[in-house]
Amino acid sequence: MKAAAFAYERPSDLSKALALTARTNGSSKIIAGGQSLGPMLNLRLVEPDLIIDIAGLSELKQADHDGDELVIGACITHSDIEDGRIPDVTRGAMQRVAGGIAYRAVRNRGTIAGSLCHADPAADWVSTLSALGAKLTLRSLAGARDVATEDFVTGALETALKPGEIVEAVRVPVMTPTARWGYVKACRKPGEFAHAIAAVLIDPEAATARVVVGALERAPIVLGDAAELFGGRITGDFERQFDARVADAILLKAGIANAADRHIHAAVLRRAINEAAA
Amino acid sequence: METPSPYTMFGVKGIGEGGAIAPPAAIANAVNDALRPLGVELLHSPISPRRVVEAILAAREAERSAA
Repeated sequence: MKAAAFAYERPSDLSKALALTARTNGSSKIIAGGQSLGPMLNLRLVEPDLIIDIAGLSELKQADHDGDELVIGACITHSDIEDGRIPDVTRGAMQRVAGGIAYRAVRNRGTIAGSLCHADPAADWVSTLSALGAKLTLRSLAGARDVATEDFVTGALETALKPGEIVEAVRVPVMTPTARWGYVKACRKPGEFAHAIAAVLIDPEAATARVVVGALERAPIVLGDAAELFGGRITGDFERQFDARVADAILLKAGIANAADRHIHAAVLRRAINEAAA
Repeated sequence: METPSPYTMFGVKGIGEGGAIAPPAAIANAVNDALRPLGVELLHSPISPRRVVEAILAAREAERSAA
């Protein structure tokens, strides 16, 4: 199929893009890399009146330190991160996740914020950035607001983005030196969408653990304080303390009725925890 | 040299399929042999990880309700 007819604008700066978005009041779509929106258009799952192309906006392609955060412009591509063209504050976590997204051709064009805005539950950044405690800066003509990744993705293909808003940047906190991370996804062939995802960030020194279970039919399950998975306390022994029965109960409570689904997600979570401990 | 098949209308013979038909059955037999202690038998291909997990959970459930 081919996309339905739409108008196309390529604004020269972010304020012009914001003005266009505000004027169309929800009937426009932002395009950057087009790796999700392209197929959606061709399948006519979306039929916007106007496409606003922000891929050329240099202000969205910066990545800089700001205090204890790295601010990554919305249009930074997966391969920018994979190839180390931007700084890393996650001790290699983002670089490795980026390298595992779909295929190289997709990574060359697909952008970090584009993936988040598409909000596919099986997308790598949706789960990873929730685990890393990243926030998104959403800008409109009225100003800017910061939203945590897990509050931004509200459901399958649903976000908290309001009409007139554009994701400007992703703010990733600097990972503590004592933190351990793990990221595992279940795919039957490389490059396909994951059937299960687990992302964990565990700091035994600080006794904190963020655990994310993704690739569900809903937004990821984000446990900001995952102590209950480890017998109530995060210690250096977290790998042995992990209790798969507690994970199963959490998944059941989150509405995952199928026992095989819960088993697969819990198995992937255990692998991510093993990776963090290794 | 031509050796027409006496069993088909134009003497045609299948080629290629012979190599493709046996492997799934051989693999399924091997998997079923491995899963026999769990009381699991898989009769559909592909034998995806999900189908294996589902079959094991179903066998465990059946055993529990029989006990």
